[in-house]
Amino acid sequence: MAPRPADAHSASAPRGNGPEADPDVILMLRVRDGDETAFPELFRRLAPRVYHYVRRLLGHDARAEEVTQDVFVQVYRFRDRWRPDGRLATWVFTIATNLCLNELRRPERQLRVDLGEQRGPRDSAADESELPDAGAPGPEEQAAGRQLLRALDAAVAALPAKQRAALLLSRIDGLAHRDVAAVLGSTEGAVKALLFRATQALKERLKDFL
Amino acid sequence: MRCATARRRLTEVVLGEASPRQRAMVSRHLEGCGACREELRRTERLIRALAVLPHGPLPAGLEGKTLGRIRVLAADTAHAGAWRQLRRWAGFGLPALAAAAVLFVTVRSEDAADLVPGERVAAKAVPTIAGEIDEPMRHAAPSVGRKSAQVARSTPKTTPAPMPREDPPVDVRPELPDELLARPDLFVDLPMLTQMEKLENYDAIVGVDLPDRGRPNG
Repeated sequence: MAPRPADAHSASAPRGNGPEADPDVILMLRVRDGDETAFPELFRRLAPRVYHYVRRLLGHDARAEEVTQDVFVQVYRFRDRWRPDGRLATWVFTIATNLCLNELRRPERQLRVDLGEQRGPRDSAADESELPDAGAPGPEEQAAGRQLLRALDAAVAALPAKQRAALLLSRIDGLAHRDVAAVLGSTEGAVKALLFRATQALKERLKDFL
Repeated sequence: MRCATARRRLTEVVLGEASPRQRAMVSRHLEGCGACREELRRTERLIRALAVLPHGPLPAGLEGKTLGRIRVLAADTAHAGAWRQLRRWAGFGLPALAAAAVLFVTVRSEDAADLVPGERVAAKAVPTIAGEIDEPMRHAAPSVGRKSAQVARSTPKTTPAPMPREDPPVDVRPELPDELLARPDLFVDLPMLTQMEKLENYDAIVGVDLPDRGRPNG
């Protein structure tokens, strides 16, 4: 059985039961107390996840950079309003999701959702990544894996915004269903329904690759 | 279990989120359904692909740009806070400072020889009021306080006379300790500061050129 996506992000997983055990929470408390070294450290911990989430949710690399900056500016600006009663990632991804959904609702922004056209030299994540079962020796299998990842990127970008957000938060960022529900302002049942529909849509679009 | 029901549970089974009972039911169904076994394989492959998607570095310069914006925000917040403090002080502090300066000048305008240590000089600290009240009080005995201030305004402008030492001075604040009464230069009577605004015959006020904050009488 494949490892759960949440295991890939154990650096920010709480060691204990309470939010105070979350290393990100401890960092955020230091930011609130005025520790100037804490915010850059918090940025480095969370920015890669936030950036890639925003990039995939928006489907636009350049705008994703700006929105990622906006996310962390909001985190800093409203640091005094944050309450340490849950995981910090949930709060940060809520900000990111709201900014992205606002961006997607703008009629004047015709965002290209085909990420294949956005790729540059640094967008070689899919090229460099291999599926865990690509211990398959042949280069053909490796090429097939890379094709799958590219097609997956495009298929995710084609999902409706809420399905895409739920999928990215749950399957890629490893948030629990209740945290995804908090981010989306929804219920756990609704999140499960979104995830089911998203997964079915991806399997349909990627039937030639899977 | 039907195929549609089993396929709805496949993702949860792959991720280990299904309950033991659900997992057992799906496993039993898969034993007899090749199509659903193929669907399970596709689901596993998809979940694994999703798990490897986020790899990749941040764009160059993103950290610098973001932290730069944060520094500007922090500086603006600190500057706005300091400016708010300054405006608050200017709104309340300067008039009080001006009134205190007027009181100081009034006290110093008295002849220093008239001040005897140990003597009750609270009335001397605001000599005009005491002096002007004293005369009408002897005749009309008005009550101390606002009425006295009105009486003080109605009396003609006079130079405050030194208090007769043999007579007990008019003590409008008998509760003040002697050591405070002995040092009028340290004592600032706040109620009197507000009353000073209403006095029109105060030579000290008229004669002093204060910074541009308006006359106490407005």
